[in-house]
Amino acid sequence: MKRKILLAASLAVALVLGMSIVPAGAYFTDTTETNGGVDVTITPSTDIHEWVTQGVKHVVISNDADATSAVYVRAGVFTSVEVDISHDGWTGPSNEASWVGPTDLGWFYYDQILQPGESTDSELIVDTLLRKKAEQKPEEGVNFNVIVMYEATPVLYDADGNPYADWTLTQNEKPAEGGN
Amino acid sequence: MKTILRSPAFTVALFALAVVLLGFGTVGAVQAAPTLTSGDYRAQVQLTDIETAIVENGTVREGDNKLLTTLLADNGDEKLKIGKAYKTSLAVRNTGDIDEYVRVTVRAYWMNKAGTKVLDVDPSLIKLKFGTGSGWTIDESASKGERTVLYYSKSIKPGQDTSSFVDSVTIDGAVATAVTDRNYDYNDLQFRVEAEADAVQTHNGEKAMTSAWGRTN
Repeated sequence: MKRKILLAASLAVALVLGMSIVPAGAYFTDTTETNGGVDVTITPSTDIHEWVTQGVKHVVISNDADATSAVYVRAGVFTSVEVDISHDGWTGPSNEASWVGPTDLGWFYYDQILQPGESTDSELIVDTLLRKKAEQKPEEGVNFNVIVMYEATPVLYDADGNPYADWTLTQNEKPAEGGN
Repeated sequence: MKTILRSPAFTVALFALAVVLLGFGTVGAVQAAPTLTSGDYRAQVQLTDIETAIVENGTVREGDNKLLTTLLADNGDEKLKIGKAYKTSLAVRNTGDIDEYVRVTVRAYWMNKAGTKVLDVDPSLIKLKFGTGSGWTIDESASKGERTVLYYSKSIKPGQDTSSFVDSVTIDGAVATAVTDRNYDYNDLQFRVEAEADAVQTHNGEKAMTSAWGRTN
């Protein structure tokens, strides 16, 4: 008798569940899917080339990246004496500035974007001897340093696609896993 | 009793009864015949068809690697410019023959050249401009990380498109500053966008959405 009751109860439960499933499958539905992507390449790689002839330092910066990373570059000149800077094609610390004095750090910004494989067409020329004011020339026999440093930053774009450089960016570097 | 059964009169009576019964049977058949041949009715059964498609700038996209294939060219570029807002229009089209409600699930993530999803970079640097305000509403409770779920508040008629649920794609400039051991984290990665559209009938729409999606619009 108990078995019959159990069978009847099971049948009732199955029927109830069956009734609840039927409406769920009764509605019309459809699904479609697609995907796609675009490659991102960020490999800025720049190098500085400089040489000195008769007290004049010439600076050229090149973009050695072999991929698609265009960069903006700038050169910083730091000296212990006053020097003349020829910077056609570069924007100096100010429109008038053509020299950098002792303890100054003058940044000169190359006006163009450097595409991979390109170099600055215009040399940045640091002349240590041709100061216009004779009294500011370094004396013969006196040792002095002219330090040129350079930086590059990837070209960024605004929403309309206009390029710009953000020199405030700093690399958010983290050590490689397992590295020191 | 035996006498009655053997009498000629009874035999005649039985014969007469048989004739009468046969006569009624014939009449019945005659009456039934018109019922069998009348009423040449025709019934047409139409099977409703619900279908949906994702369209990119008006072109149907379906399957793997079909999306964003012309994103750069459509915006006048050969190579991706970081920070630039690349305009596009992703929408849903009703390609069936009944009205429907739709929702979309959009996933944006990074993938390496081996085709593996990269999990230790930031999917939020893939900036998608969603078409909210034009009928699409983001389901904040179902959206998290790389996934965004949007519902379209209006029904779509057969052949019609929704407004766009994605208007533009921008890669944040922060990808140019993420470096690990002097290697750029996002170099040689591909940003991916996946879109899935779900459609449900508008008839008994609330119940249909509850059944298919677990919620109403």
